[in-house]
Parts: sequence; structure tokens; C-alpha cells
Amino acid sequence: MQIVLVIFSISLASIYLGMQIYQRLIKKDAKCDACAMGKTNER
Amino acid sequence: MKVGLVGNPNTGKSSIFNLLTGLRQQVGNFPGITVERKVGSFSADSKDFKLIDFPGTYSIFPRSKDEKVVYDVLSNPEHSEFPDVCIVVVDASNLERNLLLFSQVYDLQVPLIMALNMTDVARKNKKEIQREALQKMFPSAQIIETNARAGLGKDRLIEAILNSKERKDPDYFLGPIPEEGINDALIQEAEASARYEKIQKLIDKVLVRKLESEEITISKWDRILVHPLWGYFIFAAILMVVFQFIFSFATLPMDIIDGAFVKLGSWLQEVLPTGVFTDLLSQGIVPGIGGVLVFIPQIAFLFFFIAILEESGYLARVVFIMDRLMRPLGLNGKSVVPLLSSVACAIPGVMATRTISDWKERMITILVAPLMSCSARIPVYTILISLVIPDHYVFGVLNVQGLVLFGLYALGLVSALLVALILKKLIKSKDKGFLLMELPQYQRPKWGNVGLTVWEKVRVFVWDAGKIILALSVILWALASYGPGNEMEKAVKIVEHQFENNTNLDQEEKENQIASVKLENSYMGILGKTIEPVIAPLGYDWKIGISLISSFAAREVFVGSLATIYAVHADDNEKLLDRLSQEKRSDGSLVYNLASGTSLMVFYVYAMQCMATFAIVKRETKSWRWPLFQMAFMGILAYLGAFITYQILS
Repeated sequence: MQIVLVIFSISLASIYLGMQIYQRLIKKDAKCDACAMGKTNER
Repeated sequence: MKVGLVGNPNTGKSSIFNLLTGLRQQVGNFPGITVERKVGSFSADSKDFKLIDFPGTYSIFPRSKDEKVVYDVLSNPEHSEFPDVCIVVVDASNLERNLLLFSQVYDLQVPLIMALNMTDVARKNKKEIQREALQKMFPSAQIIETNARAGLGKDRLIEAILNSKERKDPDYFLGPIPEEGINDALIQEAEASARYEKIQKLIDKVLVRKLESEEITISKWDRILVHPLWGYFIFAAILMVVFQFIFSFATLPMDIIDGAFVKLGSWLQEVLPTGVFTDLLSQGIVPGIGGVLVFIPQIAFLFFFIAILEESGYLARVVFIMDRLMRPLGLNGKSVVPLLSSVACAIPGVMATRTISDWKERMITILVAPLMSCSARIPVYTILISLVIPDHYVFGVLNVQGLVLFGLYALGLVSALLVALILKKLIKSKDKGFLLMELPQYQRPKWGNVGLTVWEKVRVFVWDAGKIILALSVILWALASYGPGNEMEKAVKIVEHQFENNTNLDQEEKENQIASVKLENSYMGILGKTIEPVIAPLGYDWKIGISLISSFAAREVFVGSLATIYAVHADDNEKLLDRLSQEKRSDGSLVYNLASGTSLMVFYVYAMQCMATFAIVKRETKSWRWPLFQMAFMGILAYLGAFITYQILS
């Protein structure tokens, strides 16, 4: 059970970091509503 | 229903925003651009309203990225943020200047409410406004009096919002805003002159001036506070007091937070069944959350003082006096606030550069802001100073460790200014920067506004930076806990075999040894060994190398990584210090001596060990080129600085 939880946590952290890298550094066109530092679309 | 909030800077716009929305507010960006947008909500008469706070501007013709958004939105009814009604906050004590923007927005045919704010200040200055005469000149607008700082005028504002109607027949104060004027300085000048001429005639009718005693008092204060010599001394003294307060007052709550998370980690280890997830919780997630929350007191204190200085009207004076000093270095008076903010964290610092209208000055400020020592460097500096700098006093009162800490901050500041000077020569720009600003009236800070500023800054730090640090803590824990093949198991068996043959060593020592060899054979250990040849000339071994890599995402991870590597509980500083001070190389010399410790401190002064800053610079500059350039020059400075320091001191 503990192993499953660890795998879940690591996967969640990896996906979150991957999404952050994609949104902050790569994605060009995103809607931005009530975000503080991320999710911008740049012209 | 959308309500826009527009006005000159320092007119009490934020107070009106807070008055209407209370705590129901969020910070974001305007769609399509990286201009900060504050949105709040409120309800009245069973209707929900969305209040959009636009950046402060003196004119509809923009001088900066922030200001351009006001024209872009208000001139385009198809824009997603176009308000159904717009409140223009007007400073009654400075009516002539404020009417320029108001009359321009009026001529855009937006349904309009004039919030005649700060009438108390106007009265103090012996100025009386004839509201009826003003209303005659702007028949399509509703004009109401507010005193947002005293919390007055909310009902009148809501009533005006509920009564607002679409303007069907065009009604101009001067005439339509010339679209071509947005990019043409000559048209802007002609338009502003014509407008001011008409405003002047209006002012003669609506403004009754009595006495000027308050102005005389203000100029007396400014004679000292913006004095070419005393102004700087007073600012330096205020800064010194602020930093003393931050460090003195923040220590206690930081220790409490730190201690609470240590206890929580130990408690989880005791109550939960033994296993990998318990390890992840107690060694990865809980210290990860603690590592974020421990910085709240310092960030809160810093922004508390900055908000007080801003609210009182003093910060505008600082910008004014610093402009003289900053300009020869390629910076601008407005660079002071971003650089000051960077002492807490480079992220709000970089974001604060949006108010700098000149592209070159803004770019230089962004590039040098991370050289200011941020709060994340404090744990790194603290542990290294405790390790290699003797706890002695000079002249009986000055602590050497404290002096070294001051020296590291000074090194960051001086380096930032020198790099700015170099960048001024390197970056080419045709534009010539200028500083146009108004010195606001001195006022008592409004504590509600100060509190909201602190809350907003802390919330952004904890929520945005915190999520990334937490996720990274999980990944780092995994990289330090697992390795390729069965290398870790083999290494553990060797240690166990050694302990079986040597009965003099205790169980704790055995556990520490096992943790060390496991780490050495983990993915992270392999990484550290790989980079060891590169960092050896700086005086670092592979274990320091691992901490350098893991702290690339966030500097404060360095101490936690060292604690894990040396197999001592992460938050037991005493034990960690003991262990680090005894750590030896294969030739018997100490790993952490004056040379390697100082070299590490210098490395951290310069290195851009912060993924979040990298991301924010990429976003603000809209290119990969600038953050990569920044990372490269800061990396080179860090390596060379650390190399020279180590070679001189060793």
C-alpha cells in the first residue's frame, strides 16, 4: 500500500512540475483568469 | 456586471478597491499580456459585480506596458474586460491633473462615475470643490464624494453603479480621442495641451482656493527628505532600521514554524507504520512544506515595512532621490522598488519592474534583480557562516559573523550595480529614459491596506512558489532514495559487514553510515560524482555537488540536502553543524574550512539557483534569450567568484 502511495505521489509531483514547465516556459496561448504568476499568453 | 476602476497613481484607488471588495480579491493578469490585474467581487441589490482594478495612469496615452492596457480595454467595447461602468478615482486635492485622465475616459464614451476622493485632504489644503459646476461640465457622468481611507462613500458608490446606464448619444468634453495619437508624441502633446486649456477654465469655476498652509508644511518635509545629501542618509538609516527589525522580529516566528515541522515529521515517523510512504511524508513532504512556510515571517515583515513606506508617501520620495543615483548606472529611480523587493524574493522584484517605462532600464533591472540577496539565501548563508566564520567580536560590539552576513548582502548589491553599469554599455536602445512622477501628500498609513498588501504577497509566495518547492521535494527524495540496479543494496551489505567485524561502533553510527552509502549510490549520488571534477577547483566534493544540483530549483533546498546527505536529521542544525565541521577529505583535510565555506557563500551570492525566477524572467521578457543570458552570466560570475575566493583563501 505504501509503495502505491509513493508511486502516486511521485507521479503527481512529476506531472505537476511538467505542467508548470510547459505552462511557464513553453505554452504560448493560454487563458489567464485569476492566476498569479503563471498561465499567460504572450503576444 | 463588470466595473472598471481607473485613476492616477496615489489617488486612493486601492483604498476604494478594498472598500468595495474587502478580502474577495485575486491577483492575475490581463488576458494576452503580462500586466497585473487585480479583480475583486461584491454584491448589491441581489446582483453580483466584478471589480477590475486597472493600472494607475496619468493619461490615456500610455508611457509603459501597464498604462497601455487602460487604453486598449476602454477604447474597445469588444474587449473581454470592457467594463459596463467605469469608476475614475479623482484626487480632489489635485483636481487639475486628475481631470486630464477623467476627461479622456469621458470622451471614450464609457459609462462613468467620478469618485471624488480625498476631499478631506483638499479641505485641509483649503480647497473647496463646487460639485454642481463640475457636474455641468460632465453631464453624462455621475459625480460622488468618497473618502475611501476613512471607509466613507461605499453606499454612494454602489448606488451610482446600480444607477449607471449605457451612453447612447455621444457627449464629449473635448472631442474623440485621436487613435493615431497612441504612438505619436506630437499628437499626444497637442491633445493634452488643448485639454489642459479647457480644464484650466473649468478649474477657475469649480475650485475655490483659500490658503496654502499645508503646502508650506509639505515642502518643509520634502526639503529634508529629498535633500541631495540628507535624503540619502535618511533613506539609508530607514533601510538599516527596517532590516534590523526584519531579522530581529522574524527569528522567533521562524524558529517556531521550523520547530513545529520538525516535531510533525518526528511525530509522523512514530505514529505511522514503517514504510516508504512514511519516509516520504516525514523526510520529503513535511520538510518541503516547512521549507516554504518558514520564510513567511521575513516576507511578511519586509512587505509590511514597504507597504507602510508606500502608504505614507515616502517611497515616492525614495524613487525620486534614487533616480539621480541610479541613472548613471543604466537604472531608473523606479528600479529601487524592484531591487528592494528582490531582497525578499526576486519574483515580485522582477514583476515590479513593469512600472519602468523605458525598455532598456527595465531590462537591466530585471537582469540584476536576482543578484540582490533574497530570503532563500539566508539559511544557506547562516549555516555556512556558523560553520567557517569564528564567533568573535571586533571593537567589543561588532560580531564577525554578523559582519560577514552584512558583507554578503553588500556584495550582492555592489555586484548588481556594477553589472548594471556593464549592461548599460552592452544593451543598445534608441530610447532615452525619463522619470515622470508626482510626489503624493504625506499620509498616515491605512492599516487595512497594509494588511492586505502583506496578505497578498505572502499568499502568492506560499501558494505559487510553495507548490513547486513541494513537488520538487518529492522528486528529490525519490532521487536520493533510489538508485540504478542493486548498487545500493550491495553498498549497504558492505557497511553491515564492516559493523559486524567492529563491535565498538554503536547503532546510530551504523544507521548514519548506511544512509550515507545509500545516498552515494542513489541517482542523486551518481549525479554528484559526475560533476565532481567540475566543482573540485572551487573546493567542493561530490556531496556539496549534490546539494548544488538539488538547490538549482530553489536555494533553500541546499541545507535540507546537506542534512540528508550527511545522514543527520534535516532540521537539527546543531548536529548537522557538528557533522559538517568534522567532515574530512581522503587526505585528512577538512571539507568545510574557511576557503571552501567562503567560496560556497560567494557562489550563492551570484548563482541563479531559482527555477521560478528563470520562469518569471522568461515571461516578463517574452523570450528565452534573456533568462538564458542571465543564467549564463550569473553562473560564470558564481564560478569565477567561488574559484578566485577558494584559490586565494586556501
